[in-house]
Amino acid sequence: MGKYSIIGKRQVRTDSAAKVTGSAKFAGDFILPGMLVGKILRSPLPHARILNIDKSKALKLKGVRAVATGKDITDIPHGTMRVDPLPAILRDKYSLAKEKVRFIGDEVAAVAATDEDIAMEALELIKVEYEELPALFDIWEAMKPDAIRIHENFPGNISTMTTFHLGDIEKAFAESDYILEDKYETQRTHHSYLEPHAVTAEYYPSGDVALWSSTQTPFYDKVCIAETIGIPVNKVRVIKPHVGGGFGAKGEVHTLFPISALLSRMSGKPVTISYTREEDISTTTRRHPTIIEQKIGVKKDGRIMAFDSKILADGGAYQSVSMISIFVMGVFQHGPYKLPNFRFDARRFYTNKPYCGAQRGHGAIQPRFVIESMMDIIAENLNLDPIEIRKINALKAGDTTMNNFKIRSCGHIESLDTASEGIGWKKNWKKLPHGKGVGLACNFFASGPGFSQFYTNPPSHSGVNITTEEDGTFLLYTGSSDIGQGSETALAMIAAEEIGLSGIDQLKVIAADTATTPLDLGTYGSRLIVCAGNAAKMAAFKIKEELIETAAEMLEANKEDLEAREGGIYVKGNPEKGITIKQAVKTRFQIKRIPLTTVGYYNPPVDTGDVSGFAEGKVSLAATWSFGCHAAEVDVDEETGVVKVKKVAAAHDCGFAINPPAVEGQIEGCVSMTFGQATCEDYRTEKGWSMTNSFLDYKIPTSEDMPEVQSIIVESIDSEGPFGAKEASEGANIPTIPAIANAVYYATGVRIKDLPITPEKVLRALEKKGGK
Amino acid sequence: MKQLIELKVNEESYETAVDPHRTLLEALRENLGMTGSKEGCDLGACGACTVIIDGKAVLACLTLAMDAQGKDITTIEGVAKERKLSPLQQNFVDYGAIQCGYCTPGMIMSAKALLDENPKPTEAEIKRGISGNLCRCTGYTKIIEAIAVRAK
Repeated sequence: MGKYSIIGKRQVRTDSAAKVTGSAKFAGDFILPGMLVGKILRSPLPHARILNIDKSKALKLKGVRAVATGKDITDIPHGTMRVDPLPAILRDKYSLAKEKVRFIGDEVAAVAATDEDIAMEALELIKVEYEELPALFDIWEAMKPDAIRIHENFPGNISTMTTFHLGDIEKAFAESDYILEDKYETQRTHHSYLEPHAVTAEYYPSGDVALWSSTQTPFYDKVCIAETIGIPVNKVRVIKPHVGGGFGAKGEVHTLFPISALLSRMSGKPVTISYTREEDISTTTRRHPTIIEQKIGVKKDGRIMAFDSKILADGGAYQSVSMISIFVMGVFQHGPYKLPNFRFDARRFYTNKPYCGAQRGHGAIQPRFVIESMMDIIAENLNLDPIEIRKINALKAGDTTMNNFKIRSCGHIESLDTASEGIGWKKNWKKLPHGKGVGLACNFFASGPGFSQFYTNPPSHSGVNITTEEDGTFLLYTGSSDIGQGSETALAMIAAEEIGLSGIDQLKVIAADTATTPLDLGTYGSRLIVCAGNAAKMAAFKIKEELIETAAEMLEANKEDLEAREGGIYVKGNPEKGITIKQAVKTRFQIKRIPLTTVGYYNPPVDTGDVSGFAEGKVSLAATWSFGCHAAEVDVDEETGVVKVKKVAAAHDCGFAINPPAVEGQIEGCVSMTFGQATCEDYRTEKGWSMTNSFLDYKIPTSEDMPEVQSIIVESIDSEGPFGAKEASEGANIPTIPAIANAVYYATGVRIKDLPITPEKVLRALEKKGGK
Repeated sequence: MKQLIELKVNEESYETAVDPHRTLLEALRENLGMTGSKEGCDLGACGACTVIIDGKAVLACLTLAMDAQGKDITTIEGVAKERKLSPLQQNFVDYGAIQCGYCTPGMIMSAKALLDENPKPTEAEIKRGISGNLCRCTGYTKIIEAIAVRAK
């Protein structure tokens, strides 16, 4: 028998049967009596002042039950950057525009009607008078001294600026043996979850409203909805049904939530809103495009002396979570390599385009593409092996980075070794015929943010309650959001293991209903396994202790001598003497006649989350950190420039794999998403208009495009994670892109420094090199 | 102007009134309450709405409800029989071929149509068979494994 009876074993997801039969309900699947369809009127102009909105004709159309505009909401803007002492101006968007529209697609008005056709017709009957303003379509226009301000409070159209300097980079560069300066560009990408944003809302005569929302953060949504429509927070109930993927986009409080609640209140009927794919791609958030100038100084042996990093980001029309996006583009550069001197200067500009926010691997993807490309260039120029340079600089468990990140566990070296072995590094690197190559790259990512950008004083970061039924089965209540990653199954496994149950069928997870489940900050920052996982473990431990106490009375034994495992409570070393957990529950109910519910919670360690050093870039940002390495093999057709990625060997240090197939699934999905970002995905606009607003134009990988993926689980057993577990859903999204870029270099001798690596760019680079 | 149509779905007949421009996907979801078929793009680009009509995988978002009259329509709701998962569904469960689950119904319908026509597809044929069904979560690895088990 292994150390554990449930965790670490291949467990079927608890939601499988619902999902393969089509019975799993998503936010757009609720059909309520009398339900109306909601549609949103969006700005056709990139920048304009709203002079007047005439909704009279729309209201007269048969079947229209409500038409809402900015006048129908409060003056409190929504947005998730609201923790003290962040300035209020960071919340810069209204659910429905009040005075100005700032991008094509900005929400202007909303309609609820008896069917979709009528709602669409009503949108056309709303007459909006605009005064068109000059529009700024790129950061160069936005930064001109005489440029119009997109937001009054932000001079120079700089929405976010982060600068800090740790150590002494001038001295470090002076002491460096080799310095490389380079410039890279990354593109806008869209998350492209299969379920477009959707919500169904029902407002009750009591003044309460319930919403079934496609969301990653129901507890943040709840507050923003209440503030926007002007009702107390306890009157808003957000229920997260099954969610068809989010990848960061659904961690934003999108406008359809308050709008649906408002329309339901105005009409007295339930209202459902589902975004079309076009609406979804062109009006929700996307990954920040960046221009990165990076200077790296190293010693002869490859040891890093300093990074000097300058980033310009095009943020689009609104702030979103860019305070975090831009900050982490800097601080995430502190791993997986020791960085003794660091200067960072990043600016994000407002432009009149759809806005950018968080996407899987938030803020890490852009600089990591740069650093991992440059590590290879430096290695080549110093005649070092790409693996060696990545080992010589490696952080290790027990280290604290110069900006206070605590490295509690580290699978960096093992990831390098296993991924390189998986791609046949020794026999393939620089040894394949021309046009073929292998390359690798590493990653580093947060697992569990140390603070909330939303709540100043959350009761805890994650709460979990566990209770028992009379038949000895258990219920686990969590406010955390499974959006497809399989966290509910993982929480069930953690709790069942800790209690000592015979299987997860003995425990049911009730998840994410702000009225009934304890607060959880949500699914972002790769926080769930560490935060909700630890909370589940604590609640499970407490309920086990209570049951052992009852068992001790029944068995006339000391409770210290008892242990719970596989459905029973036994005297240690005497497996014949014991009772079942079911008997213990029954007896406890009979004897004590009090319900059995325990409360578990998690807050990141006290050395994490202190933001007093925010301005200097010194914040112990996360509970713990993940590592990994991907190695890619490519085949480049030098006639066409097409890069065929044949295989990615993807090693990820998830601390401990609670449910191995779920971890593999995350790694495989990550490789897919960033293989797309590396080679083809590119969200484009022309004069503010979305040019890639369908899956016909914004192409994501299909089954026929995908490379072979070898997922490799590395376990470093973290001291902070539950049973040693760390995140597995974002870190693995980071290294695929530079691994492919490096492989393309070894295959062709050309290095593509702006994403995506398209055939055109490869051909142009080959021509420039004079190869063909 | 709505018209009365008759649809044969999962071996049962339904009478319902639809506007002539409404799609089969809308009729299934809104008129018949069968919300298992999903709308992911409404443009025939993602495959989430795939159903089987007369043995062929078809995109319900590109099929007019009126044109589906007189045909045998199978949706995801009709794949499990007597509350028992089909072997293909069971393989999706056992091989972890599901994450968010939004593409899953359409993916299973495409895989079913493929296997019904070609019970022993090669890996390349499986990849081709589901290439019209986008999945953003899984990278397709475990989905292909789950289908390949049926081909053994």
